[in-house]
Amino acid sequence: MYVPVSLDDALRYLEENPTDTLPIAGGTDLLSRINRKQVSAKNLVDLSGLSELRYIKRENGKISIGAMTTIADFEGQESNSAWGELLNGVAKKFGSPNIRTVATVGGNICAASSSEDLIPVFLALDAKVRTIRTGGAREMSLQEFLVAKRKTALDPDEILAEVSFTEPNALAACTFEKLGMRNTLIIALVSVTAFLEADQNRSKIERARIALNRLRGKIPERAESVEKELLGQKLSEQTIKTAGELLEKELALTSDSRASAEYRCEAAKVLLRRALMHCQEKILGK
Amino acid sequence: MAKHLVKLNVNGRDHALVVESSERLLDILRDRLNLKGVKEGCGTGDCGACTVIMDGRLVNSCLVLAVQARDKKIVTIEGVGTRERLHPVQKAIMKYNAAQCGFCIPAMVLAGKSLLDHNPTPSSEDIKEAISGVLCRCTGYYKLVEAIQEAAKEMSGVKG
Repeated sequence: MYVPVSLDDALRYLEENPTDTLPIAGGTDLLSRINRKQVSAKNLVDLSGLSELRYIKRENGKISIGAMTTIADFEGQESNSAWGELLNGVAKKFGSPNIRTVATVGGNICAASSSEDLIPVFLALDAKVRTIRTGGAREMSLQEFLVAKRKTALDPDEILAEVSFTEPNALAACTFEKLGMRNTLIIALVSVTAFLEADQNRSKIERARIALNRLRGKIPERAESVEKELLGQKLSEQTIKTAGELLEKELALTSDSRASAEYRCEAAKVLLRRALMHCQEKILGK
Repeated sequence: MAKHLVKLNVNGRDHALVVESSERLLDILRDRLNLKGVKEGCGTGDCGACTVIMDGRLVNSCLVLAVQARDKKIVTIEGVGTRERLHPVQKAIMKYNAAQCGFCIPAMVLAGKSLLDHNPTPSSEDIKEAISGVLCRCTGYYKLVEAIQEAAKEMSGVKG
């Protein structure tokens, strides 16, 4: 394990030791996988102490979150804003209080699987990620960053530095709905995050983004056909019903030890309805 | 294997230990500092038996490498109360007979104490949430919730 004294030092170490080196943040995912012998790393670089990467900033209509921000750092964050409410909501359903103390935003995203609650949340916020290496940085959409299950666009000498998204305006609402076998310490059987933005009259849907922890494969994805259908539609019960029917067509879920594909599909429709109802009520000020 | 000098404060005492990269906070607390109140259950962050308080918040000590606990303040059950001066949460657990096999109790006490440190007047929902990372397989949760509620009352009464 290498303990860098600064962010630059961490990047230099990764540049000099690109093979068999893994960055570690909170460790809640990586250490349990190392313990189960699912991952082997000759060497770890500890990013958890890098305060340069621990922040939540709101500037010029943009929210930027440093990769070493912990889930516990979300608590109480701008809870009267749409995005603050969303992040507080996901924090309450994330792991357990013990896990939230150390688990980080960057760690969750880089773990790149359907178990990661933050990924669909940031997909629904249309987030961008910034990666850095010695002497360089890249920015890309979160969708581009997620290549496949447990695989990201990071090169061995690169780390994820920041995730950012446009601050939702006063006509927008977003929510995270998760179903597990219990409330704490559970991987979602299904989760649905919805983001809706209405027009000035609060009658029609101007923007819609729906992300699920699983849609077709084993990583979180956006349900684009549902999103398209929602555009320009009236905020109404009927619209929400149609969205559910469309989602069913788009879903290609699989069964595993946690749930059957059929159950997941039914649950996904219910969660989508709940999420859209919640957004609609927020937008209409009910 | 790389060795590291780790300084940390445990239950109010400063320690400097030479640790290996792979050693967990749990290992050094139990094996080096002989704090056996820290239990290992699953070793994967699912059961919470190894809960300690790190810089004022709960963590699973099985999922924190010793190196990552450098310069931190750690509180284990041994630092919460003594046989003669029990913490109000410990007293209430005894009064309510809320411990069954006892394996999760050190973690439950720490979860209760940590909650009351941050929120002196918790609702029963707050308490359930606070202890939700610690599993009791005797499933005696109700009495634990009642006990922590009682401790909250006693503590706020003391504060006047």
